Amino acid sequence: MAQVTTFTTTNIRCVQWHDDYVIYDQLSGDTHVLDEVSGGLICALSKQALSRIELLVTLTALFVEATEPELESYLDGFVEKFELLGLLVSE
Amino acid sequence: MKRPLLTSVLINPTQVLDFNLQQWDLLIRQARRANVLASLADLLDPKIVLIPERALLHLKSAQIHANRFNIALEYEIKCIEKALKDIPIALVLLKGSAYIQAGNNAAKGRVFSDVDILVPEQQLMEVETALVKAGWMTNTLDAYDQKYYRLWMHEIPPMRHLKRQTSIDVHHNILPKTTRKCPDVNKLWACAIKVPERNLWVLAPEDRVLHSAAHLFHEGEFRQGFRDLLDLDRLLKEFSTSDDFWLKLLQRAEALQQQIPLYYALRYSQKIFSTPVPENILLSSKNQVPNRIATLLMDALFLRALLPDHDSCNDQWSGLARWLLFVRSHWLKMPVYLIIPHLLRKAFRRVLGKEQH
Amino acid sequence: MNNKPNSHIASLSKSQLEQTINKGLDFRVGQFNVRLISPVKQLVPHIQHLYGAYDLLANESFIDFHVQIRAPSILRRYIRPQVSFFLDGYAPFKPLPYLQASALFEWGLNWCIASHANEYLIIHAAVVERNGQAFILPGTPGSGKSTLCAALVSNGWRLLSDEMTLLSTYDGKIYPVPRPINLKNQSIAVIKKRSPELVFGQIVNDTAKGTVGHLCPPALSVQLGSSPALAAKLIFPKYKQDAETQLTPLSKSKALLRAAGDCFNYNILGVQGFDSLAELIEQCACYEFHYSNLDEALALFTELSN
Repeated sequence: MAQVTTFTTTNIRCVQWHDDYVIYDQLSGDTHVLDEVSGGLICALSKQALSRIELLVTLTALFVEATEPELESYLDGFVEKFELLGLLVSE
Repeated sequence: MKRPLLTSVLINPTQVLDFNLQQWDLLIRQARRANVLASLADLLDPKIVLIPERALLHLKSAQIHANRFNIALEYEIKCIEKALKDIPIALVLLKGSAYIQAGNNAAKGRVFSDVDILVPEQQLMEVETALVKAGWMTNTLDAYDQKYYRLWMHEIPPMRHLKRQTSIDVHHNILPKTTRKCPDVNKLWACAIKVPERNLWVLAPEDRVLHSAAHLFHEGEFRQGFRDLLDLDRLLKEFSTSDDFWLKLLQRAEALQQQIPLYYALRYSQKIFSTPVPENILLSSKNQVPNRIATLLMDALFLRALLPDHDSCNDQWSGLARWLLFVRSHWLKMPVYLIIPHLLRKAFRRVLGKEQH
Repeated sequence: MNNKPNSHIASLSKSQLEQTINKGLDFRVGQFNVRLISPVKQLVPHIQHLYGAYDLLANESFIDFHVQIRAPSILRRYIRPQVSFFLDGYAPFKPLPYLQASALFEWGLNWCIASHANEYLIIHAAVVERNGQAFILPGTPGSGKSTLCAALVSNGWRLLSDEMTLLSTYDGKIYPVPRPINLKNQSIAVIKKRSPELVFGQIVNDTAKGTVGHLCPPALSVQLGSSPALAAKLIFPKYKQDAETQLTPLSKSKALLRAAGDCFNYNILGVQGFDSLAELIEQCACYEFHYSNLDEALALFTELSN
């Protein structure tokens, strides 16, 4: 069976107030404010590793009217951005 | 010279069991001045030793700083690894960074300002370019300072990361090129040890000791002198649990031409920290020294300069001792025809408030 | 830990005070024991007028900060005289002109606390209290936080600090460090006009921050220097000439980010700093506050604290 790539966060702390998420990166010491969607994803990933499919399912629930290509594109952007920030790693 | 309270406690921590508030007050102050407050905090376990509340707050405050420093250092090293990943060199860490990666006792509670790395001289340009690309920048230096570093020193000018404001010193040897007894850096490379599960290297244990000794006993400024000698004390205690360590150390000192710094390191570590150096080793080290050294004079200077620069540890000669060693360090690093103009220039720039190195 | 003090600094005559400062004046400043040693005569009236209510320490107390103010060199004692601030022999700043000795002492002591007290997350903010509620007022230069703080404190609010909010990482409370309130330029005239009975220290011109003066803290605030308070409001003030008095709720995430940027030691405390700050934000109502009229500002704050 093919190895499924999972995503997980580096060592972070998440705090949520309504639609805002604040993330603390314990290694770099950076503090980030994230919107509802990316914050929600990052916080979920900080609790357990998720595969791409699982992430897409989560996004589908949040963006009810989006098409599949739109969701894939959003997810690609999300992964690229947070890997660059050093908050996300893929295994 | 009277032994400072701080030194007594570092040698024998249980001494504090009998301390009154004045002694705790003085201990904290000496430790802060010597930049070893966090190291002291690590030695004093509040579960075992009753520490007065105020003193405990100062110790904990220093520990918080040191703990955060360790995390930041790990991040910094990862960033350096990433910046240099496309260059096929073994990244050798020096000094504090090395002690931490190698898990040495000398690392405990140690806080320092720069990461020091050793790279081959032929690849300096490549490394510097890669660092600049990843966001580091050479501090603004004038043409003279640039020349000072690139022609004469064993390192390029310090670089600072624009965003993180952290510093990196890139060395190509452990002592300046102009030093009369400059070690053959290839010998250092040949014995470097890989850090398990990382793409990082550190010098062999004997070389770590010799680097620390060479650095300390060529140094002109002794603000970190006590801390650096404490490093040596800890390194020697840790490594001497290996049977052949002492002999290897003596042999290596010959190979790298660092017999004098090693002798000083052993002598002053023993005198100040009572480091258990076997008598025959100390004697052999002295006999290895190629020329005569003015031991009494050096004692008068180093036994003052290597103490914490604090009123309670200094006497009326301490300032002079430090100044003489400052001049000596330049004599060691540079041929005579370069020293006078260099010292004059430094003095002039100090008056103008421009001196940083 | 608590040494029963013999008396306050005010119990010393001027000449006794001068002699004591020469040898070492030991006194309590909020959570900290300070020893001041200085031959600088100018400091004597500063301490006498502004630190009268502070407790003297019993003999053989543990001193947190051994502070010296003296000329940086023999030359500078006489030629264009200067003074340097030393913490136990270490000088963190460049020397200043002799006449700025009192301002240097205040700034230096701020630095001591901000750099050596990591049991607290230290926010660059004024903090005042009324009815058991602490209001934290972070301030960048020009925000008007010091003027607002001085006005509140002159109207019955307790002063915990005008510069540094000490948030304990152990119990989440705000610990006082009441000090003379640092006012600059026009603020001095504004407060003097409103409350002419208030005691000011020496007014120093031509500092790096312009004209600087210090306002004596209320004796009661100094006496309550051991009593922490619970934070209720985090208010970011912004003075702007002719602005309407306006209090606007601020989202907690923005408040956290701004407050983090206003801390002296957020980076040093790491995740502990983040956790403590997040708890503080959770506990406080957070606002932005625009004002130009001090009377209206005071009225609004009184209402908020009822």
